[in-house]
This record gives sequence, C-alpha cells and structure tokens, in this order.
Amino acid sequence: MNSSDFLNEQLWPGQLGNVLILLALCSAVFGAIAHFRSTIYNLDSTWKTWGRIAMLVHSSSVFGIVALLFGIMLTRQFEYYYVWKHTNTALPQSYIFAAFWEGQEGSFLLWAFWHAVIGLVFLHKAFRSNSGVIATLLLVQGFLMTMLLGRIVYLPDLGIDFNIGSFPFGLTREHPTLMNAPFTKLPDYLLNLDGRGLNPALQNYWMTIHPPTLFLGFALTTIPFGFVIQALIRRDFSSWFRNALPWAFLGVGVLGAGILMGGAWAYEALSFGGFWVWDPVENASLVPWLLLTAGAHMLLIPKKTKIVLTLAFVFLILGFITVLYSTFLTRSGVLGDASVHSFTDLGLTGQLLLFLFFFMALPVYLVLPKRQRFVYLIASITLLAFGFSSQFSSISNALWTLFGLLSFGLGIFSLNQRINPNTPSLEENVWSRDFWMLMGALVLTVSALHLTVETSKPVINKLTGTSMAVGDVAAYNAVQWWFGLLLSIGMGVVLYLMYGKKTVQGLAKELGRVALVAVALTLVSFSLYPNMKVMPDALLLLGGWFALASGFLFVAKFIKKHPLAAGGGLAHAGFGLLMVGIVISMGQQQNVSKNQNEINLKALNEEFSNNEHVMLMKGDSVRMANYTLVFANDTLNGSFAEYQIDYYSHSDGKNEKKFSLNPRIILSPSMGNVAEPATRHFVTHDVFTHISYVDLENLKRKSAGIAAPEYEEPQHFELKIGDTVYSSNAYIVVEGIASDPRNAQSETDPNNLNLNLYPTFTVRDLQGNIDTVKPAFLIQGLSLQTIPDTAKGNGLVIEVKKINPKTSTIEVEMQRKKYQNQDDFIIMKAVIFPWIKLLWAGCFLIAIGSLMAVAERFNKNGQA
Amino acid sequence: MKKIHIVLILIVAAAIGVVMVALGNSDSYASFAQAIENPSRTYHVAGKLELNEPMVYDPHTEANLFTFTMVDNDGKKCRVALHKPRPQDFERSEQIVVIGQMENDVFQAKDILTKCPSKYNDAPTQTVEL
Repeated sequence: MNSSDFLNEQLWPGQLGNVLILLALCSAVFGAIAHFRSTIYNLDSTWKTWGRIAMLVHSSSVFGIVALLFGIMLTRQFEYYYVWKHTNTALPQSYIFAAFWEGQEGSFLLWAFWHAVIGLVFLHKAFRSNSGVIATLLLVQGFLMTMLLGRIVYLPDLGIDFNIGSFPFGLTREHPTLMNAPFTKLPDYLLNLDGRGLNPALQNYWMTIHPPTLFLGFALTTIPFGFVIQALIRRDFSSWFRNALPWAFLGVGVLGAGILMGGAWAYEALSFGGFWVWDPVENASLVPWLLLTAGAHMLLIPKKTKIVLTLAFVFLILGFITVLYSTFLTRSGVLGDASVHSFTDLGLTGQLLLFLFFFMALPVYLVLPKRQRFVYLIASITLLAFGFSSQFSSISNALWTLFGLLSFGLGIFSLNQRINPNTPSLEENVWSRDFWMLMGALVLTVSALHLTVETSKPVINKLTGTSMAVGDVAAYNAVQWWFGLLLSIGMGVVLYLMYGKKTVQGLAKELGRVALVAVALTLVSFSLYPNMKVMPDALLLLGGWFALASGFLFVAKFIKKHPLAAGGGLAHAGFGLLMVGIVISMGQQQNVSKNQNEINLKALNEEFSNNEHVMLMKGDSVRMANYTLVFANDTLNGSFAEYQIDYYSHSDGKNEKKFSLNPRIILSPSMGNVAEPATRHFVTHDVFTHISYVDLENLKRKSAGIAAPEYEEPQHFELKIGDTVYSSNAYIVVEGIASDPRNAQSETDPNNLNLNLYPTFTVRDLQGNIDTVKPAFLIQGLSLQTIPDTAKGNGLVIEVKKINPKTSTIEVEMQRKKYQNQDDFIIMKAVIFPWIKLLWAGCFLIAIGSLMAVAERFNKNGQA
Repeated sequence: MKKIHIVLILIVAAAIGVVMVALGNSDSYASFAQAIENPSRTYHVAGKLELNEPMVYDPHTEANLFTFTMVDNDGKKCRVALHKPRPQDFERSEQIVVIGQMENDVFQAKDILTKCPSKYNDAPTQTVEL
C-alpha cells in the first residue's frame, strides 16, 4: 500500500492513523495494567512511572488521531470513506465539527478525546495518587479504541466472521458498499468525486455544541466509577468520598447542560413540537444523569453508614453502566423503529455488549473474596462464550439475565460483608438532612428505573419474544410527574435541614414560611390559568414553587456566610423553576392554529380529534387566538424552501403587523426533506410555527416558471354495479347503467347498433354534497364516443372508458379539476408556549448551582 | 423495625410498581389481523406503503386526514386513515409504523412513524445479531 495506483490519493494519513490507533490501544492497555499495579502495590514507583508515560503516550495518540481525522476532513480527502460520507465540497468549514461527530467513529473519538483530556488532568500532582481512577479510565479507553480498529476476523472453518470496530480511515474505494461501484476502478476517480455531505438537518450550531458537551458529561461519569473501582481494589470503602465528590458534581453539571442543549435543539430546530418528548435517545442520556445525581448526593452525607456506602457504590457504578447501556441502545440498531435518531448500525452489536458486560462484571469481580473471584470469572467467560457461540439463543439470554441479577445481588452482599462492621448505622432522626438526601436519591433511582424499563422495551422484546411498544409522551408523563412532585418537596425541605440541629418547631416555622410563599405563587398562577388541572398540573406547580422559594430563601440567608455553599440552594431552586416552567409552558400551551374547518369524519374518541394543523392559502389570512396569520410568501432559496408567515395583532380595532416568522424546509434529495420550525421569542411566551406539509413540487414548478396542471392526477378503477370507491375526497357509488329507450333497435346488425348508455354514479363528498353523475357511453355502429360528466360540488370528472359485458364491469377514469391556485397552500401548526423562559432559567440555575458546588469542593479539598 | 427499613420497603414497592405500570400498560406491535380481532385496542402496526393504491390527501377539505393503503409485515393490506397531515416525502418512506385502532375495516391512526431509506442504506451486513 506504499504507492498508489490512483491519481492524487494521499495514503499516509490513513497509515499514520492506523499506527496511532494501535498505539493508543496498546498504551491504554499497558497503562491500565501499570496503574492497577501501582494501585495494588501503593509504593512501587516503577509501575507509577511507566503508567504515567503510558498515559502521556495514550493521550498524545488520541489527540493525533483526532487531528488527523480533522485534517483529512478539512482538506476534503474523499479517498477516505468517513470524509466522503460526512462531508462534501459545498459544506462550509464551520460545520466540520458537526460532520466529525455525525458518524459513530467520530463520536467514539469525541468520547475518547475527553477521556484523554481528563487523563492528563489526573497526571497533575493534586490527583495523581488516584491511580485506580486512571487505570479505569484507560481500561475504558482500551475498549473505545477497539471500536476504531476495523479488523475483520474471518475463520470460515470455525464459522467465525465478524468485524472488530470500524476504522475511521478506511478508503472509499475499499468500502464494502462501494468497492463494486465502477467509479472506484478508475485511476483518476478522485478528480470527479464529491462527498455525500452532511445531512442538512444537522447543519446548525446545536450539532456543533450539543455532542461535545454531552460526551464530556459521559466521560465525567467514568471518574466517579473509577473512584469506586479504586476503593474496591484498595479495600478502602469510605475515604474516597471527598475526592470523588467534586468530579461527580462536575459530571452532574456538564451532563445536565448537555441534556439541556439537546432539549433546546429539539425545541428550536426539530419538529418535535416541544423540548422533551421522552425519545429513547433522550432518556438514554437522562438516566445516567439521574443516577449520577443520586450518587453525588450520597457523597455529601458525612456519616458513612452501611446503607449510604452501599448506595454510593451502587449509584455511581450504575451511572457509568447506564452510559454504556445507552451506547449499546443507540448504536447497536436494537432500538430500530422506536427512536428517530439512533445511529446507523455498524454491526458492532457484539462488541458493544462485551464493552457493557465487562464493566458490569468488573466491580462485582473486585468486591468478591479472592477465592470466589476465580469462580465468578470462569462462570462469566463460560456464559459469554455460550451466548456468542449459540447466536444469542433464548436459553443463553435467560441465563445471562439470571446471571446479571445474581451478580448484582452477590455484589451488594459482598460489599456489605466487607464494609467495616463498626460503621455507624443511619441516624434514626427522620428530620435529618442525611435521611432526606437518602430518600431523594432513592426517588431519583425509581424514576431512572421507570425510564430504563420503558426505553428498554425493544430489548425486552428481543429477550422474551414479546412485542411491546415504547410508551408515548402521555405514558411517561403519567408516571414521571410523581417523581417531579416528590423531588420538589424533598429538595425544598432538605435545604432547611442543613447546618446544625434544629428543633422541630423551629423547622416547622421556617418551612411554613416557604410553604406560604409557594401557596401564594400557586394561587397567582392558578388565577392566570384558571383552566389548569389540579392533578397533576397545580400540584406539581405547588411543588415547583416550594422548591424555588426554599432555594432562594436559603441562598439569601447563606450567601454571605458561605458564598459557594449557595450552589446547592441555587440548583434546588433551579429544579423548582424547571418544574414550574414545564407545567405552565407545556400544560398551558395554546394551539393557535385550531382548525376552524371542522368536518367530523368519524366521531372517534378524543385522541383522534386532531385539529392542530391548519391549511393556509397563499395570501389568505386566518384568525388564530390573538393573531391574524397571513401566508405571505414562499421562495425556493438554494437548498431551502422558505415560507413567510406574517403575524398581525388586532388590538384597538386595527390590524398591525407585529412580526414575521420564516419556517422552512431543508431540501435534500439524498437524505430527505426536513421541516425546520421558526419561533418568535417574547419574555412571557414563545410563538412557534411549524410547516407540517407543503406541495414542494408546486414550489419548484413555480420557481421554474411552469404553470400548474389544470387537473389532478387521474385515477383508474374497474368497477361493478353497487361498488363504492373513494377518490378525491368523495365516495362514489356505481348505481347502475341507464340506457336510452331508443336504444338497441337492431342488435343483429353491428353496423346499425345504436347504443346510448349512461352509467350512473352517486358522488358524495366529505362536505356533504351529493350529486348524481351520468357520463355518457355512446356506441354508434362501430364508433364509440365517451362524454365525461362532472360532479357539481366536488368538481370530480368521471369518464367511462370501457364496458366489459363478460365480466360485467366498467372501466372508469376519475380526475378532479383543481381550484385556482389549489397547490399554493401550506399546512402549518402554530403553538404559543407561555413562560417557557422559566424552564430554561431553571435548567441554567441547576447547571450553575452544580458548578458552584464543584468549585466549593475543589477549594475545600485543595485547602485540606 | 427501623424507619429506614420501612422506607426501603416502600421504595422497593414503588420500584415494582413502576415496572408493572411500564410493562402492563404497554401498547403492542401487531399485525392488521390482530387489530381486526380487537377493534377497541390501540396497536402499533409496522409495514410498507402500497404504492399502487391511491394516497388521498385533500387539505382543502380536511387538513388533518390522509388516507393510504399499507401492507403489514404479514402481507395483509389495509386502508389507513391518518388523522394528521400527510407526512412530507411520504411516498419515499420505506418502513412505516402506524399507531391506532381498527374501525370499520379502516385502521384509524393517530400517529405515524416513517423511516426514509437514505438514512440507513449504508449499513454493512451485520454479523452478530441479537
């Protein structure tokens, strides 16, 4: 492969990339071993030195791989498949980041990049004693590097044929889907080759900032997990809390911000019609956050009782494991139909499962006594081998599930055995901060469990053969709002349990004040939105205001004495605000575009009375809520179809144009057309406008100056008397064939045949017009004349083309004349989201509060 | 019994509760035949669009109704009335899932999921399958 037979091909970046991936893999494995050694033999400095060198080599290699891939993408070297697939010449350089992590390989690299950065931070003398953390980090990196290997293992005699990882520097002409394409055989194929390009729906700044934040959050869940592993290796179960705490809260803050950005993206640029729709992929990042948050709060409890210790271990392990599990869900293709945005399946399912199982088994293995470890190891390997060799048969699935549950129980049991029996048991005072924190963490876990079960239904289906469908938004909301309520109340109360012992009376007085504020705020909200449901809306609102009031009063009280300790109060207030924002903006959202044209096709149940989409003809105005909407213009603008909707207000009796919104459709012949909503932001509300359907052909025709066809596409039917068909929004019944009484005078002589037939149809359209249509079918001698007839209300033209006496059927053509400018319409949806700013402010406060807590803890740890 | 144990029992009960709710209230994937048998139940039916039969969308009459014919994975054809606007690029969708219930031989769908082929056309042959 040193010299290329192909013009302009540059092969060295790929070869160097290959070397760097191997180097990164080897240094990760070696570095992990070295750091594990120095974790076990705490004083052995040789292993420490080697471990540090390996970490440096590993991080440098990962940075090298990232730089190389960026390099070939920036210079558009289409000889590389990844570049070809995700970029093209027309792609602005500013979207190279988005293109970089659009694919699986790039996003694995992004994840690995953050680990490499954090690894370097851990080489700093403040953290370097945590060799177990670095070891765990490098172990995870080892698995991530195998995802980039791109080696095919093919041993036909043993029935082995699979690929390990997907190589990001693979060549276009060697890719399985393209290697047989004729162009890849031409020596100068690169001269004319352009890439497939980045999906236009992803060409926005959200795609640039959301994935890096989310993956930094994912990478940060590895660190508390690393502290857990280190504690298990060192058999030191409680002293790690202090060091792990700031990292755990850093993860809470960053991962929270990443999830929030995903929600903001969904709201601003996607057609979800809301900021959160409980999509499996959204849930997959929320569940680790819930567990990490639960675990981080365990670390705050100073009295390390048995139950606190056990739960801290369990939550932080699960926080990381669920990141791996969500990686498996979104990248293995197992979600299939259930999610709008899972990755393309790269055939790495087996490898992703190994990644997951390894880190599920590792903590259990480490907590077991030495003799049992060996048995556990053998059992795990046997089960794995059986599962893979039996192609995931139902027996092995059952055994795996059983083994997983057993491992979990065994792990907790062993941990409890090992924790120093002198550890104090939890203070029995129910009005203690520790007790409430513990309960809060448990509520978070139950919430995470519900999300996991719901999201895992495709997996459960595969395991048990059921065919359950993932729940809709209502199904999630119906359960999750309870957790929102419980958490809000708990978060409000727990703040007042901080700092010293309190009498119950004193506490009741303080909390009573907060509750009073909350009730007052709820009543004000209720008077603004009197149609609000009491359950769950008003109740959750009360909880939200309670947490908010409590948080702010707490901050006000302590900001002078403990400025950084205010972080917790702010975060709790933020959660309250988030709940308030959700209840008001979602519960009180107003469909401005209520369809006035109510034709009740079927009196079905509530769910089907869908009239939130409305049709607007160009130039027409429709009155919606406080606005009059005018569909002012539509233009074809490069790869966008843009629509201008003018919003007029009619206060004071006169119409005044307030603003215009330009929702658009991103056109992509190869990747599908995607609608992008437009939103007008006000302090008190947002006006959201979304195009549901347009006739794009019509817009293209108009832009090209071609007149619209006069008739709709004709439809053909072969019908019998009594048949009913549905066409052009009308039911058409064949009533019979009337014949002219003067017909059929000389049937014996075909030349004298004079047969005037009038097949009769009843046309009943959806507006209730009923009309009888009688197209003529005239036989005069050997000539045939057919005269179409038109239904008056509907404009449907029916022509009988042929009558088959043998089969007693008639062949009919139906087409409808179009109205004037019939195709110049849009179907749109407009929604007012009141006070959605509160929701964003709440998220912002949670993130700021968490980061303040991090700063406080790093400060404290540094001083100590 | 300590208070913490009561709390733990309550939490475990709640955990079992939410799992039961999640699994118990689940809609199912089904074929049209099953949907015909239980006309009042909501099902998710997966299948393909039948391009030879008319797709009718007349927003001038009703913007929230779109009818088409779908073939489910068992090969059974059925007319579907979607109570939403016609999805953009609908004729190009390769896989469809409709969510709704059967009534008078027409599947009344309240929602639809479509998958375009382009997003998924470059998956190499998968070698390990669950």
